[in-house]
Amino acid sequence: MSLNVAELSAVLGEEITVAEELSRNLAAQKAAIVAWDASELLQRIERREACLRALGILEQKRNDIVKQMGFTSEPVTLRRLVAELPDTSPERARMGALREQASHILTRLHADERDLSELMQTLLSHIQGALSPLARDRAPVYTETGAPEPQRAPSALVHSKA
Amino acid sequence: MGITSTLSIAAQSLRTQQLAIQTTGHNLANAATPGFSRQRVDLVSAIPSFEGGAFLGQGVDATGIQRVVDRFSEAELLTLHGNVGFLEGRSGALASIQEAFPVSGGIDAALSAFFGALSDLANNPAGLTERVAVIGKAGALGASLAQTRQLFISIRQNLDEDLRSVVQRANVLMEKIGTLNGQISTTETQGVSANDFRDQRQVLLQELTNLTGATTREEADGQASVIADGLLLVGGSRFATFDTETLNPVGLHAVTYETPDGLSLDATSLLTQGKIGAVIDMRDNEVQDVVDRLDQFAKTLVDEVNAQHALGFDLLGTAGGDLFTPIAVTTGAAAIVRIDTTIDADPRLIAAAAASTTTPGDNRNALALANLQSTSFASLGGVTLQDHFLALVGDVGSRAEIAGSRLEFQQALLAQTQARRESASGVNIDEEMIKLIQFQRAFEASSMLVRTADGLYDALLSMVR
Repeated sequence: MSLNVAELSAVLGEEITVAEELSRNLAAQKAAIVAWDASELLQRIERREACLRALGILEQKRNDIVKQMGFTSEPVTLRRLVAELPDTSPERARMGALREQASHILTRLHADERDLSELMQTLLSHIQGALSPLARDRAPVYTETGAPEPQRAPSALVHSKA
Repeated sequence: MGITSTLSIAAQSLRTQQLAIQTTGHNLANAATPGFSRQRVDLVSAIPSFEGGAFLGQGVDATGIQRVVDRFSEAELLTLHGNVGFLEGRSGALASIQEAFPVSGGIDAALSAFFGALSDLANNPAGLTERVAVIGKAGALGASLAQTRQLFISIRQNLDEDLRSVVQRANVLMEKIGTLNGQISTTETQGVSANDFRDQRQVLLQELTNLTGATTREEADGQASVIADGLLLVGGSRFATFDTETLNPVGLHAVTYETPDGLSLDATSLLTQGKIGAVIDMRDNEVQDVVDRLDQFAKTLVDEVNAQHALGFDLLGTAGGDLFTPIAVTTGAAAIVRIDTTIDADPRLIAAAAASTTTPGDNRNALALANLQSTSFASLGGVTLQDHFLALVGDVGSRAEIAGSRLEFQQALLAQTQARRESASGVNIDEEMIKLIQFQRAFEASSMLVRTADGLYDALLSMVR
């Protein structure tokens, strides 16, 4: 049990590190939008993807550890884990501190992420509005015989989605 | 920094970026609008706040939207439009005059044919066929002169009509510029840049300069004063008007200038620049000069031929009369060169002989008449009839060529300056689109990660709660 707790603490510590990295990443994304620097923004989004992948792997690892600890009923929370540890054990104190830290940073991260996402969606709708003049149907063009020229397909570039 | 400050910075940045995107969209939508100047949002860091002993950034702020313009190019374009307008008017009219003198046929050929017929008559002075030929060629020469003169009169009439239409256009432009001046002043007094009004005014100013060669000065309140040939065309939101209802003594339209205060004067001779100046100059001076020279040619031809003809004797032994119907005044002479009606009716009356008593073989007067082709006349400035006519044609040709080459040069300068203006003010669709599409891709890529992130955060949060 104590071996599993130590492993869980290590994984949680790593998850907190990644979450902090994600927080810094979000701040950098906001700065890139403010500076209207698309390439910097794309780089940050790429880095964020790598962080989320790393976080996903750590989550899997954490789930495995929790399963090995023999908890059968869901949900397994840190509060429950800490409650099951002896009052005086150093693991209890460490787990408690980690829980506090993780709770604080993840709550903040989650909220920031949603704010940024909403901001991006709003800006995205403005961009689509700005690009719409280029995608607007053109007036019919007539050939030398007087027959209307077939309409060209709208620009795929303008309509494409990343 | 508290959550309120963070939200405030986010909202301000959002507004700023919305403005930037809207401006880019405006640039894209107007990429093909003539005279449109690219607009740019001026971004500055917001003034930082001092909290807890440190300056904290407050995000980004937009100080305004500016037209990206090269003022030197804009001013140069106005001057060049004036030059091009003048030369277009001049070159177009000279090309029309030149076309009235065909490369083959026309007056030159008719003149040669007339003197050729007189030479043929000298070879066979009693020949009725030769006499009929002289009458025919004289009639053809008269018809050619009348036709050419009529062409010039038509060209002058067309120029007169052109003048009326360009003057009407100038009136429309002056009124619109005055209105835009008012709109610019009102908008900018409120601290807002009147970018689009300024672009519209610039396009109209270029056209007005093309028509009048006007110079423009921008006043402190952003309004443009426009002056052409010393006449104030637009001052603030007030504007002058031109009127072409009055006819001058020769039946052509005079241009009456009415000041913004309602005073009026005949400005026909004052307008010397731009297309209007060129049209007036061509109508009243250049075309008139060609017509006058043609009339002088016709009068000299008729007078000299008649004088020589009167020295001879016809087949009946009678002293020669006038070969052509005499012309009293030079003005309009080219329109009325006609063979005398009595001679037209009886070819024997052509006075080919030098004496009444000689035999019908006397050809001396016919030879003298034919020799008029190579005789120089004081009334033509000491040159022959043919040389006078060829000088007239050559003169028009060289003036047309000079005007054409100057126009070509000014147009090249104009194109070069327009390209320079475009490089500064034009909208680069690729650049603007790439910028927007990069952000579009970034935002869309980011939104795809949101679901993954949400799942992870929810799982983690449910554990640490």
